[in-house]
Amino acid sequence: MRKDYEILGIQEDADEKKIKRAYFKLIREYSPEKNPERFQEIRAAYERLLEEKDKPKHDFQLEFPEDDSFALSMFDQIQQLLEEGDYAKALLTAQEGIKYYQEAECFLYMYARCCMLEGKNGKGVKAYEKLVERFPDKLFYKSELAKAYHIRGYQRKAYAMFQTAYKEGEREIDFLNLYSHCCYDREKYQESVQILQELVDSVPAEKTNQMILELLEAYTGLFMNCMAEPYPVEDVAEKCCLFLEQIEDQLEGYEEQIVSVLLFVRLVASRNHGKKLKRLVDKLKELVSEVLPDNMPTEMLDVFQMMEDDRFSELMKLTVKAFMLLDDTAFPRDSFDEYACFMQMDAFLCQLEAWPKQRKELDLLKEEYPDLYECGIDVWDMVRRCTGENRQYMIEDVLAEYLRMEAKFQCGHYYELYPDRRCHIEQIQWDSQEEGTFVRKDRKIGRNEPCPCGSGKKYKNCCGKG
Amino acid sequence: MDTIIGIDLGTSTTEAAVYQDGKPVLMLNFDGREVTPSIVGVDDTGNIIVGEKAEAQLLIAPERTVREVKRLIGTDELVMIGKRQYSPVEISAMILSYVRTYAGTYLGEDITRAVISVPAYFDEIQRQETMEAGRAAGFMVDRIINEPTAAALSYGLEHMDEESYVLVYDLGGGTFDVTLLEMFEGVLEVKASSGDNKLGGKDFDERLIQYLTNRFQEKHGIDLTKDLYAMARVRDEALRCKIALSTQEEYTIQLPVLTVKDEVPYAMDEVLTRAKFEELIQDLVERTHEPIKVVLSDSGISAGELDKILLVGGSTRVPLVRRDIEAYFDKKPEAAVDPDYAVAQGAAIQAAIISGLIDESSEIVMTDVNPYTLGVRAIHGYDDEYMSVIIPRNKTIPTTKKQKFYTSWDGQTEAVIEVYQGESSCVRYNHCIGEFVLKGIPDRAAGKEAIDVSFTYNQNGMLHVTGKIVSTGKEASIEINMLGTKEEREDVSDWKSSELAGEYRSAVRRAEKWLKNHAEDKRAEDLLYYLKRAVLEEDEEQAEEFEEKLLYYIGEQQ
Repeated sequence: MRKDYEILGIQEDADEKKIKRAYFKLIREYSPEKNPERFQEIRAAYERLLEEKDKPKHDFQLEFPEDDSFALSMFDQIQQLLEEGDYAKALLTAQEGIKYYQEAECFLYMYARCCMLEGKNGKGVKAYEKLVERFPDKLFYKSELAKAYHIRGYQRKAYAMFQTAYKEGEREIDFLNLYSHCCYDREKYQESVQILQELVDSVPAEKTNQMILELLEAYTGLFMNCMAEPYPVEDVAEKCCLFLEQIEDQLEGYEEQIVSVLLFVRLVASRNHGKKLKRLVDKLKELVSEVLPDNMPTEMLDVFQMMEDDRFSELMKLTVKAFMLLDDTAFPRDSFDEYACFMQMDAFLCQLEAWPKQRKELDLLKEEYPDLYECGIDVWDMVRRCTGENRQYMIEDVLAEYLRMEAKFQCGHYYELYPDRRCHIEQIQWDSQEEGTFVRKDRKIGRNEPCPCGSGKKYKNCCGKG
Repeated sequence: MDTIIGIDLGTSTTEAAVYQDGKPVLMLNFDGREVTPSIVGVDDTGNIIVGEKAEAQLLIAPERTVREVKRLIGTDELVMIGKRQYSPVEISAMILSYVRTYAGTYLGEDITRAVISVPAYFDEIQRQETMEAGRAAGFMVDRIINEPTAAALSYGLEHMDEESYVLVYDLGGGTFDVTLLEMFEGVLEVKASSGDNKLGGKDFDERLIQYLTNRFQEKHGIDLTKDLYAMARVRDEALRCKIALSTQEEYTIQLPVLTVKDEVPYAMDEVLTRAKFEELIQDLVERTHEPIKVVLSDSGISAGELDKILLVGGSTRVPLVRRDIEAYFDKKPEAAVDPDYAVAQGAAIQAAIISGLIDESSEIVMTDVNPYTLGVRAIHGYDDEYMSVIIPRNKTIPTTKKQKFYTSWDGQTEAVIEVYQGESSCVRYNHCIGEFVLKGIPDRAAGKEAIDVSFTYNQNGMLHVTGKIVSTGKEASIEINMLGTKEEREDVSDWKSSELAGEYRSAVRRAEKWLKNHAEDKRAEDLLYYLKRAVLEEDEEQAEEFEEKLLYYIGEQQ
């Protein structure tokens, strides 16, 4: 960072305007036409500085070992590595720096940051504790320490530190969001609401478009709190409405956040303030259905509604949840993991066992929530088709794989509902080994056919793996 | 130093300018005009004619005349003129060659260097072909410049001391471009560019023509679309109508004896109001909103922060377009540049910067961005076609970006680095612009070896990709010329003569058959070409490799 200021030839306290002026002056001299290499250096420094200016400012300067260009370049290297996302290496370098320069502030701070980014939260907490102790005047460290406590799970300490930092005047957006979370976890709902309201009010109108994510999270939090401890929510609803109108055309990419706001608002509305929240609900619905219909996980809304629907049994709700997890229109691709696959198998087995008791519910689902039904259509078909002996074979077939995965996740509902099955499986495995050849009653599933568990993946990539 | 001229090779018209006495000057063609229609034809003696002469024969000999060829650039479509077929590149080259001769006459010297403008949203192939056309016309093409950038340059030269955000809205004959720039004391920084390759005034014409022929069909039950001569007249009149409706509320179309059926002549007689015309093109105009959104969000500047909106391109004369812009931005667009000449003038300014006539340290400086995202194929969770972005779109060039990748299976000793261009997160929908293999990775467990991939994109549109094994320092790299020559393809048509032919015949046949239904699949086409070349060179190892890749690829697509 220091080097960047040097490259642009300006003081470190230069504001955005000065940075810009310096940059534009320099590229006259070193234009992309005349000196592309130098231009790139200048440009990179300029971009880094502008980015830094965009971030909330630290109102302090880091202490550096005096007159040591090696320390400077090491520090720059760490920042570079952080930018590239190579946290592990950045952490190592920071450690090196601490050793070499007897815990100089700049390296200790970098070390703390890297630890948190690398997930070494315990070490991060320790480092921030040290920093707070050594620099009691620097509010920033207190705020970071509070966040670190919170992430590490030291809720009591976190809460105390949040309060201290808050009292000393920390008002950074992320800080406030996490503070309110912490309050919520400790059931201090009033405090949580108060903080979030302050957060929402602190963002000036012209800055809302840079804080969309943070604000959406804050509003979600506000309505979440209201679920736990009702408070007059009209004001918040009004503000939220205004905010949504303002950013209407920039909401792409925030679909999930919008849906979660809508979910909580609906919940609140269903509890008490139906009429007062009508405008907000309408606005959100409009966003969901008109402004962002392409990427909107509308099925999620249906899931939510269905979960509240008393006509469905727990089993049915469980199954729908499991299958929605694997629908990639509602969830990012990353959710396609083994766990989701396991949850599906779990639900599938339960459905097979319970059939045909839930036939009526299934018809109801098909009629009223066609989208949800569509998501698991292969499975429903399979469940309907598998009768008599076939069903037993299907259950046993799936169980073999289920057994392996259950050992890993240990959270399925199947054994809970059908405890006698656990020993039954061991039996199956025994039997099939004894008999030698296993006679297949069901049709063989081809490697490249869709997996019967309904995941939508090929059999070879799913249950047929290995 | 040779003179470098700037050329605006447009869909409907072409202009050329040169920098003289501190300002860009439009050059006059042999008809004494600044504007040359982008129309090429063959006259009755078989000579190639360009510009107004070709335009004149459009009505009498439409089968020997061709227009709007810019829309075909980058495709494999051929155009019939008279008895011969021409590629879009050849026809563009004829127009450029005409420009070269008249510019030579105008300046009294042989002109061999040029800066040619293209729509900002032209892709890789379209730029390459434009460059090729320039070369075929005898130019050394010094630079391909984006049209909105050029327009902004010509604006910037006259407003050197402004500090502002300027949006250039360029709706031309065939393409729509939108670019946002920051101007700061004579430095022009392009912040973001976007657009639509297939949206322009010609689409307005098409809507009108469609409407008119439909009306004709309703009234007289005659399908005009098959009658080349009638269609040429309708097209001509539609254009006139469109232009007239920009200033008047109503226009009467009268085409006597448009067609003859059973020896009875039929005339077209229609009154078209501006409201009706606007209804016809409403959805087309609304298609401009999407690119504008992209540009605003990519540059991080809100509509309210814009200081100026510059209109470029003839189609911005349509009142509906102006109203739409004004409504969208809540700001009146400016007529600060000449919509027809600004691009050619800007190209001439760029030419002057290159030749050193303009001194960057005291006069105008410009930086541009790359319009498309660049990245490599990577494995990401279950997804093995993940586009890992290295240089995001709208990044100021020249630029260098680096990213680390890790081996994805135990004992992986080589990595194929496939370079893609495009906006999808799945490489299959993007365009593969090159690949190379980095061999010699130490045999270790998955994730233990790292490869640094670095992209350098320079001012001339050259992309240099390097892969480096971190532990050993071994490197491999590839140079991709984003604007220059396409890879020279050898003629592989007689691959059957090779001794290996028998072995690979079935694979080739299968691929060819598949390609018939998937004509636009460049990847399969490339692989087929490599296979044929390997067979022709009797390189068994390579042939086997490409056969496997090709069949696998086709199999995956089905």
